[in-house]
Order: sequence, then C-alpha cells, then structure tokens
Amino acid sequence: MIIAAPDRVLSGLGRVRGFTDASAVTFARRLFRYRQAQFAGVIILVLILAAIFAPLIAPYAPDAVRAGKPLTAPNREFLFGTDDLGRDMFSRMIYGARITLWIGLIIVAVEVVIGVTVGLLAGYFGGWTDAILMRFTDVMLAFPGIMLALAIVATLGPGLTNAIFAVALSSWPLFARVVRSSVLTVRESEYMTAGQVLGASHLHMMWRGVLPNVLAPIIVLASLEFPAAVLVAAALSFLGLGAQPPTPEWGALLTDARNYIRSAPYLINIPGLAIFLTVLAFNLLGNALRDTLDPRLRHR
Amino acid sequence: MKTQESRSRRLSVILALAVLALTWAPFTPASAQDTPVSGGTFRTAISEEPDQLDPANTNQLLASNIMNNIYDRLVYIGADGLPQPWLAESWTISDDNLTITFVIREGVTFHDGTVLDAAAVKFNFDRILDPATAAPNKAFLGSLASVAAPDAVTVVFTFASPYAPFFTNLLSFGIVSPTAVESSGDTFGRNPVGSGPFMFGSWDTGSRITLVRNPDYVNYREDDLNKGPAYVDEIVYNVISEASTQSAAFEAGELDMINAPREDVARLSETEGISIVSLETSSNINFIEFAANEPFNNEAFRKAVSYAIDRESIAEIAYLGNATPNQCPIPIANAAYDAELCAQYGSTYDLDLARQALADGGFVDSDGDGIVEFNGENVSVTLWSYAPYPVQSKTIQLVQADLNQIGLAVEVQTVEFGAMQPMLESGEIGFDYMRWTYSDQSILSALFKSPGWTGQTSDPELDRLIEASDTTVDPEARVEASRQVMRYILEHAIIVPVVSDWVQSAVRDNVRDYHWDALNTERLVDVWIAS
Amino acid sequence: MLSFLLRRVVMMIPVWFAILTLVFLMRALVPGDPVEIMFFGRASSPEVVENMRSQLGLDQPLYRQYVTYLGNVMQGDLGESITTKRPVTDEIRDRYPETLKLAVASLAVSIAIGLAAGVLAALYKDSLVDTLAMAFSVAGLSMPAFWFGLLMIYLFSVRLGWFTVVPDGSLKSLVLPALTLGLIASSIIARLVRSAMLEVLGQDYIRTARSKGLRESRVMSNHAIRNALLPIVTIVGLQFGGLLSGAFIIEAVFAWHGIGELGVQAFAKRDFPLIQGIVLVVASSYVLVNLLVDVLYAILDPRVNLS
Repeated sequence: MIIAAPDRVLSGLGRVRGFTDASAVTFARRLFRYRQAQFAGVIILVLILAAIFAPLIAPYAPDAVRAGKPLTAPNREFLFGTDDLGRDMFSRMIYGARITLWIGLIIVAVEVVIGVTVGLLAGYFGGWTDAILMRFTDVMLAFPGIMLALAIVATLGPGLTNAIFAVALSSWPLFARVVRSSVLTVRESEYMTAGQVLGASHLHMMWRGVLPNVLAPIIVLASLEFPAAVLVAAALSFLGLGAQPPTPEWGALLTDARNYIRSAPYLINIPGLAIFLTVLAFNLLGNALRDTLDPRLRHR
Repeated sequence: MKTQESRSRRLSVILALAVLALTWAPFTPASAQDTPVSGGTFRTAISEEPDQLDPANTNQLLASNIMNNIYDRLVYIGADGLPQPWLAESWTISDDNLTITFVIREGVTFHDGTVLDAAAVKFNFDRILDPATAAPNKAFLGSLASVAAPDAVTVVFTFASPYAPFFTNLLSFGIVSPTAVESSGDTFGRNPVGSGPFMFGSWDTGSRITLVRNPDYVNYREDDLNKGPAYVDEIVYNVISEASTQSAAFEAGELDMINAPREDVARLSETEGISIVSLETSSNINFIEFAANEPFNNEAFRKAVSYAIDRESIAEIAYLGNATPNQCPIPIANAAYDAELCAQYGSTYDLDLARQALADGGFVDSDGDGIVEFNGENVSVTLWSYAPYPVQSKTIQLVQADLNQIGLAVEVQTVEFGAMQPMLESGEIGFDYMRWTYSDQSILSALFKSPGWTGQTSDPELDRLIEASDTTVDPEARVEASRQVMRYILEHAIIVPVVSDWVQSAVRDNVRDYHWDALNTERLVDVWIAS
Repeated sequence: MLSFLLRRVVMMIPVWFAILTLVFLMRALVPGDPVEIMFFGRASSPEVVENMRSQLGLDQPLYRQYVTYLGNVMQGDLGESITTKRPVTDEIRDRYPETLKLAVASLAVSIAIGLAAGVLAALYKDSLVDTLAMAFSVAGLSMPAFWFGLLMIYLFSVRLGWFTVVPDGSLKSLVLPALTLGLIASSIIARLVRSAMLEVLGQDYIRTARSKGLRESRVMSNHAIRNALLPIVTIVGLQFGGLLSGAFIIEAVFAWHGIGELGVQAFAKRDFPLIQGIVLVVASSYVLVNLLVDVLYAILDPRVNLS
C-alpha cells in the first residue's frame, strides 16, 4: 500500500463494533452519558426543529427584499438585524439551517454510497480488483481536493447541487479505505467461510455477511464527515462556487458579509457562530459515538 | 460642460483634503501642511500580482496602474477630453487623417540613462506591431500600418484608414527603453525600464512590488501639480487578495491607501484620520446585455427589461449610494456621455410601461398564473452575473424582484469569471449584468460591432454607425457620431445601461494630493506625505 | 528495508502517472479559454487572439498536446505560465517554500496543542479536564476558516497590534496563520494521542500497580509517549495534502502567498500549465511525505514487518 497513513489513523474505527448487539435504548443511554453528546444533542435538536418548522418560525420570507430598512442592527423586530438588501437575517438563518443540514446529509450520503461500494468490492474480492480500486483511491487522495472541486464545479456549472457533488466526489476515498480495512478483518471469519461452502452469491455475502459488520465504523465516520462537509461547502462559497443568490446558505451569508466586518459585524458573526456551533455539535457527537462504540473504552 | 464639472470635482476633492488637514491637525503650523515635503513611503495594496510590467505584453488594468508610474506616454487626455502634450511636444494630423506626425521632446532620458528620442518611440510601436510579440494590446492601435523616425525628434504614424480612438488608446502604450528591452529579453516584464516619475525597484514574487523615485524626473504634464521629481521616496504595492484583509491592514496603519470597499465607505469616511476620495465621473459602465436567441432577441422583451430597471434604487441599495445611475451606454467620464440625450431615447423606471412593452410584443398572461406567455409557453429566464462579487449578486437580485413583478419568471445565477465567456458566446447566458471599463468611445465598437464581444451581436445598421464613429477623427464631429450610435442602441434596447460605479479610495489624512486624471489614472507623482 | 522502500517507490509510478493524466484531462473537460479570459472586458482582435493561441500551442489537437506534455514533464519542463509567461517551475519555486514554511509551522503548533490536550485528557479521563481539553481541540476544527482568520487578525493585529497584518517575511508573521491552521489540525492529534495513551494506561495499569511503583511508572510513561508518537507521525501524512493546497482560505486571509492561493488564481484564469504544475507538485509531495511516514512508522512501530 502506498498511502497507508489514513488507514492507520482510522484503524481505530475497525475496532468499533457491537452496534448491532446493543439495543437502541441502552446504546443511547451509553452515548448520552458523555457530556459532549448531551451538548451536541441539544444543538442538533434545535437545528432540526428550526429546519423542519422554518416557515412557522421565520417572520419573513428568506428572500423578501426590503422587509426592513437595509443594515438594521439586531433589535426586537429583527432579532438578527437585516442585511444590505433589507432582508430579515433571522428568517434567512432559519431557512439556512435547512440548507446546511441538507448539504451535510447529501454529501455524506454520496460519499457513503461511492466509498462503501469501492471499499466493499476491494476488500471482498481482493487481488487485482483490490489493487486497481485502491490505486484509484490513492490518486483521488493525492489529488488536491480543492483543485478537483474547482474543476468539477467549473465543468458542471456553479450552484449548490454541483458544489455538493464536487465535495462528495473529492472526499469519498476515506470511506473506501475504512470500509476496505474493516472488510479485510471480517472476510476471514468463520461465518464467511461457511457462506462460501454453502454457495451463497457474492452479492448476498457482501450485503448480508460483510456490510452489517462494518456498519459501525461507517456511522462514526459519517458523523465526522458531516461537519467537514458543511465547512467545505462554506469554503466553496468563499470562492463564489457554492450556493447561488438568494439562497441563504450559511457559508454564502458569511462570505457576502466579509466587508461588513466593521460596519455591520453582526452580519458576519451570526452565520459564523451558527456554522461553528453546528460543526462543533456534529464533531462532538461523532467523537462520543466513536467512544461509545469502541470496545476498548467501554468496559471501564 | 460635463468636463468642467469633473475638473471642479477633482479640485474640490483636493480642497476638501486640505480643509480636513487643517481641522484635524490644528497644532501643526499650517504652512508645513500646505507645502509638499519630500520623503516617506506610499504603501498601498493590490488584489493580485500583475502578470508583468511590459506594455507590449500585458493588458491587465492592474498592471497598467503600476506601469503609469514607470512609463510616460506621448500624450495624455485632459479634462476636456482632448489630447495634451507630454513626451510629444506637438503633433500634426494630415488632411486625409492618415498620418500623424509627432515632435518628440528633447532631453528626456530613460531610467537607464539612454536617450528617449524618435528612434526609441519607433522601436516601441514597431515592437507592438510585430506579430511575433503577440501584444495583447495590439488592437488598440487599430489601422496603424507603419511608424517612421526620419530624424531624432520626428515620428510619423501612418494609418491604413482613419482611426479616431488613437490618441486615447495611447494610454496603453508607455514608452519603454529599447536598450533595456534588448538586454533583458523575455524578462523585461519583470525588470521594466521607462522614463516616468518612478523607477522599478524590486519584485518580491507574490508579495510586493516596490518602485523608487526617479530623482531626475521632469514632469511635462499640465494637469499635475508637481512639475519635478515625485515627493515620496518609494511606492510599495502589497499583494493582498482578500479585501477584508486589506481593510484590516489599512486600519492597523500598515497601508496609506486602499481601494475603499463599498460596504465600508460610510464608516471609514467618519473615522478620524481617514478620508474617502471619490471619483464620480468614472470610466466604467454596468449594463444588462442580451443573447441573440428567444426571447432576448425580441425588442419588446428588452424594452420591458429596460423599463423595469430601478437605477436609483440599485445605486442606493446594491452600491450603497456609491454609484451614479447611468442611462447612457457609455461611461460617464466619456466625452460622448450625454445624460439628456440618453434620458430622451432610453427608458426610465416605470413598471406600467414595462408591462405595456411586454403586452405590445405579444407577451401576455392568458392562463392567469401571473407569468406571461410567449408562443403559448411561460417566459422563464435566468439573469446571470459573475462571481464572487457581492455587488453584482445584489444588483441582479434587485432586478429579479422587479422583473418578477411584470410577469416574468426570473431566476438569478452567478458564475465564476472563467466559465462565463464560453457561456456568453454559446448563447447559454440569455441576459446578464456586465461591467466594462474603457476610456474611449471605441468601447462602442469593442462591445457591439459585429459579432460583438459576446459573439451575439449582428446589426448592419449599428455597424455602419460605429464605423462612422471610429473613423471620424475630428473630436467634436466624433462625439456627434458616437451619440448617433448611443441613440440607436437605446432606441432598440440593444443593452440596458444601469450605473457607473465610483472609483473610491480610502486614504490616511497625512497623504496629500492623492487624485486621478481625466481617464481615471492615479497621479502618484503629486502625492506627498505630511509629517 | 531497501527492498521495502524500492517496492513503495515502484508502486508510486502508476499513481503518479494517473495524476498526470487526470490533470491533463482537466484541460479538455473544464470549460473556459485562457486567451479569452485574458481579454475579458477589454478589446481584442480575432487575429491577436488566434496568434496568441497558436503561440501557446492551444490550437494543437489534444492528443498531440498530451504527448508533448508528457515528454516535457519527463524532462522536468512544466511549461510556461500563460499569464505571466514565466516557467511554471519558477512560479512554483517562488511559492512552494512559503507554503512549506506555513505547513511545518502549523504542524508544530498542532502537535504541541494536540499532545498537551491529548495527554491531559487521558490522564484525567472522564473529568472536566478531559471534556474541556477535547472540546477545545474540537473547537478549532469547527471554526469556518475564513471567519476564524478574520477574527484572529482583528483581535491580534488591529486591536492589540501584536502582529502586522501584512506579512513582512519575519518569523513573527508566521505566528497568526500557523496558529489558526494549527488549531484546526490539532483536534485529530489530540484524539489520537488520548486514545493511544488510554490504551497503554489501561494495559499496564494492573501490572504497574502490582510492581515496584515509581520506577515502573517511568517505564510506563516512556512507553506511553512512544505510543503517542505513532498517531502524530501518521497524522503528518494525512494533514500534509490538506495543508499544501487546502489552506487557500487561510492563505488569502493572511495575505500569505503560497501555493494554495496560486492554485485558486491559476484556476480562475484557466492557466492550465500552471494548474497542472501545481497539482503535480502537491500530489507528488503528498505521495512522498506518505512514503516517508510509512518508513518512519515502520521504524517506530516494531509490529510492522518491513519485508
């Protein structure tokens, strides 16, 4: 293997097991013993509620120009003030929560689909399949992610969907590596040997035999990739490649407000703080998940 | 009349600076404040590194801002829009408008000590004309066929056909030292040698470019205050791509001048020790342009858009008041600019007239869904601009709101600069908000002469009018010819002009006499730093 | 050891070749013509544009360009930048050291912070110290880089005046960008150090308690530190690629003229020779650093078999 490093960093995830044998309730109880998880849970809950009930919570349409006097500082009527087109920042932030969660979800979903497929195939079949798929993964890992994302967005055109796609396409190799190394440890198990003797199809073996056993590391990695995806999407907005106006994606709000940092600091600090808290919450949740699922840390 | 205005505006800027200086430094003797003193470093920022500093090899605005300090030119354009003597003492134009003979000033030397004479001038223009140079600015020489230097002070330019933009376009051609070009070869662009008020100092790749004062400089320009060597010892251009970082560096006192971010102009102008210098007669024009496909090639559609543009509101909200509404398809600084004519043939914000124009053109909402149909289909279009510039994105959002009101289903979209050109040429971009900076009326031919800069224009009548404007050498007759072009453009709503945004700099109060000339170029030879 | 190295190097070749091809294909797939962009918003004549295009070799068929490109790269010639007309190798030579400086400094910062936070968290597992140390390290990772950088500048440079906003080439100007980047990278190190420490503490806990007390605890701490070194070595490889090209926002905000900034600008201008050169150099460094990491890992961890 050429680039072994990522495997080793994430190899701890290979030990993450026992998700399937614990009931959901005991699992949740164990998870929320962690203070970090409690904190994260509250923030994520607020975020999800805001996203679901956005039309009920937001006093204005998020793109209603001249809802108030442009650049009004936060006050009782406009909790987060208004932006330079007079749009209500509170409403924009609430609707933005939807988009932010959506971005994270889609990116992670695409990463999981590609990464798990590649990782499963490589780990399960081994040999040449493994060699070729993993060399390809190496190429993707070594290729500077931002240049790849720039190229994809430039080719497909700008916009949120394409930006999401670009981020996902440049970051699935992590999943492929984690899944592959987990699969390698599962492949030699007795269950698998038994399956082969009984003549089960490859598809069946992968779906039923392997996948459930590598589910836990996938879940942990997904919860850690979610916040990373939100940040990368914001970074693409910084280059003008992400969400299109008037979409109130938080990264775009942050970028658009860059020159107001002195004259209307709330315009940049509110989305900045919101992104920070969201990403923090998901990172903390991911860490707590990993600790909960890691058997070495559990029995003490 | 308009040029008068620009001169008085510039003067008033300088006066305002002087007044501010008096009010904010009451304990320093006034005399010390009024008399320029030599010394100090003028520190400023540029948003990216120029590609090079050789007029034959770059067409970047950014590069020309720096080159203006290193190279002098044959003529400059005065506040009246007419060419004035600089390195050329005088000139004569032949009756057939095909030859221009310059008399070159004697006694001027380049920074390397060599003489700037007729032969040097000929060398410069031969170099641009040489296809091997592949000079990106070659188009600015138009129909120039050859250059001759019969003696040390005479240069004869011969044209294949009359070419009116020539004098203004000389703006792009600072005179370089032939000796230095020959000795530096390909690296001349990074070791430039001219005859201007500042000499090239150093180029720290990626970070900064430093120019140093030319101690032997004589300034022949009438419009500058300083006739001798520049006052400041050095100009330092720091490369800082992020505007908010430029602001931070300016506020921390590390820079003496930055291009003022529009969003921060109001606050900065109230900050003690800082002033905003504005040039409201700017040489840029922001406009909406259209592709040659349905419904954009439909005059009624374009007319409707033109009535739905609320220029005042765009200038006020999107540009935060730092732009002038412009109904002319030409920058305000241009000699042919004529607000009255453009108000007459252009359109003023009126949504009822916009709806009327749509109805007249057969855009009717017959199914009552609030969106007009054309040929039985809802008209759903996308208004584009380029990213990542907040002001562009804000403007198209404001326009979107108005267009939606007249029954068009409009989406807005911004696209990265690099990807825009092919989309414009393929017609994929139906209409978009665009910005051009240009000093001469020939902006009209650059933009609209078939096939147009986007490849989407073809109008024989318009071509004929533009041709007339480009070949009329007499300045006043030319202004008249250009106005015919503008009138035609407005009558047919070929584009919809929106605003000309102001050129604005934030300067520290100890920086004096910072100003621009009539073509919006900085005159740093006049700048001095008060103690 | 030698054959181990040799095998790795040989396996690098197809990866490197694939990167070369991929980066070349970008030019065919990505819309936008560098010559058109050069003339954006300014006048040009078709003749001038064509002239320039043929001068840059852009009028050649793609496969011909590819062959020429491969041949040139093999000879160490990365071509000329379309915008500056300077050799791409010169452009990269001017920028790369800046990026390396920043990368090394921020790695140092992240190791220092990550080690401290990780060790503290492990020693006081499940206490408030643990929670705070881990939360602090995660906080850095969670800040949007752009906002974080601007806040640092306004606090430390504008308000407190401790540093200059414009880097002056001194080591001091490295502090703020390295701190910002380093905090972002420290989170993963802190986590890895923490769990590596816990593993050792857990394993040896009983044995240590049983045996001779102080002396044994010293052995343990030696062991623990060695164990904690492994994840740090590993993370250097993982972070390196990101630090080389992914730091473009931090570079932009701190006016740090590295290769990330150059890459983004080259892309905006569709300066393909420059883009190709940058991607090639960044990818090669990434592969190389990971090779080094593998070797280092093998030396540090006796469990890894070199053959």
